[in-house]
Amino acid sequence: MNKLEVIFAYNTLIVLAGTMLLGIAAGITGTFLMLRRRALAGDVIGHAALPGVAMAFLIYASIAPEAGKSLPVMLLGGSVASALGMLAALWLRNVGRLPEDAVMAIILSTFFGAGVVLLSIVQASPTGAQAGLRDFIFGQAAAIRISDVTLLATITIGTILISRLLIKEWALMCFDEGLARVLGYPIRTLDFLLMALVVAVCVAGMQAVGLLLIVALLIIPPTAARFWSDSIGPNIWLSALFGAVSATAGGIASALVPKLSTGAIIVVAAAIVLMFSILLGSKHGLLLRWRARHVMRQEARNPPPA
Amino acid sequence: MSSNGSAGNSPLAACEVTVAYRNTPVLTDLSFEVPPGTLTAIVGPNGAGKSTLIKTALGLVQPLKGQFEFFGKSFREVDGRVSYVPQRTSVDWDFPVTSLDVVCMGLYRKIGWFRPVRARHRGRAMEALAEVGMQDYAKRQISQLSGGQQQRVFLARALVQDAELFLMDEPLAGVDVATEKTIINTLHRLRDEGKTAMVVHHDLDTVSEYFDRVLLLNRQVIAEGAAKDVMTSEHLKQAYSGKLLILS
Repeated sequence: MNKLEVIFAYNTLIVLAGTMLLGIAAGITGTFLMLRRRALAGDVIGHAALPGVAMAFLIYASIAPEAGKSLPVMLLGGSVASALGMLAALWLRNVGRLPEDAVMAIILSTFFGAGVVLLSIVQASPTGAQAGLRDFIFGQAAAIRISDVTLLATITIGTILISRLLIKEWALMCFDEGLARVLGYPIRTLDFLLMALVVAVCVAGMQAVGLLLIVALLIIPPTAARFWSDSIGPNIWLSALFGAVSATAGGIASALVPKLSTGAIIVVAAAIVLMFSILLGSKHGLLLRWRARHVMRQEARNPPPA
Repeated sequence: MSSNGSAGNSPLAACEVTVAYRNTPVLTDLSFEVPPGTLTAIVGPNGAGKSTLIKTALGLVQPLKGQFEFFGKSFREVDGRVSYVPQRTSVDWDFPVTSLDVVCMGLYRKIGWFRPVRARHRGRAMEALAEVGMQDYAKRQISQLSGGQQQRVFLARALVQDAELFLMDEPLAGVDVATEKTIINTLHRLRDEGKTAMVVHHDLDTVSEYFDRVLLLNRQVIAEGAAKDVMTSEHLKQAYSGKLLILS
């Protein structure tokens, strides 16, 4: 097969659809995560999923030794561990005396460390060696199946619907939590919903992007979008677009070179989009700023005749 | 100074409120009553608990003891009758919203869950921006505004709520003269319409000129009442524990 045939092969289209959906969901969710100033929370959630995935595999293997690995079970395990990680971080922060970034770093590394230990136990077992759990760390988009696309599509449609419905409530919570509480909005519930979406995106993206790098897909697209617009609406759909483009680029690379780590390609693609945005962004791009500065300097040196 | 058995018509009454952050007491046995249609300044040294008073009244901080009553009811029961202007530094001004968007936030409860902001809401927000002289900045992203302009946007956001009681945390901190005038004129107009405001204020020189009443605070109520009765050197010495140079 030549390269174009590979790209348009059925399996490849499945992979591309999956990564694109993931990029959209991550771009939208990430916009609110960034506005809430919780960029690190995505990192915690991603890393904290690993022990859950490994634990779920071990438990499932002991219950049903013949069944091999079950993706839904492992994703469920990952979600539970991610949620536990976030709760642990909140608890540790409320204990006091610990700065929030230190709390995040502690939780993230502790959970990930526990995950690596569990993973080596899994690898030592005969079934575990072929389970490909390592793919969860760095991502392997080529492993995406049609059932995964269904899951990703559900999450993406859910994300679009929820963020459309709650855009003003979430925006208010992110901008001025005090006013939101005074107006009587249930901040805990709104916050929980946002974090639940982040967990869903992280866990669903583990297979394609890997739990180490999924945070990049949550953070880089919204950061790039910010250089193009000063309103929330365009920021959201631009971020979704950038996420989709980066993720699809990773998917194509993964299809062409099967051994390539998809997550890494996706992150590099997203970083390129960000570089372009920083340079060319129509609101805050450097080029725009340099040109404005240049014009100002010209006018200052050659004042127009009064 | 006890306000036990307070009349139900006071827009804001505190009844033996005690607040602590962790193990540090901030406010002790606070009791006062704000008469309707008045402008009250909350005055006191740094760390006196001025912001804490407002935050506790609004339910943002839980008191150890006592309670606040709004129009004789709890805060949750007077939905929409109280409006809050936080300190300007409490929000992220790089947030991707315009002045108009921020003012519309004051209408979110009226608009209701899940519903979009419509043209008539934006029209109401524009009116409020005009009231504070900010109509020309409606489409500006908020980081492009000066401190005084940002404060006026916050005031406009409070105005659209059509509240009867306004609680403001340092609205005059670090603003330009024009903004100070606008805010004070707006407050006086609100009072003339029968509304009530309680404002954290830091400039002792202008207190008597701008406000009818003063609540002098230093972890407890030092004095409360008409501005001329409260702003005496004796009271101020007591509140500022002699750290203040009395000029008048």
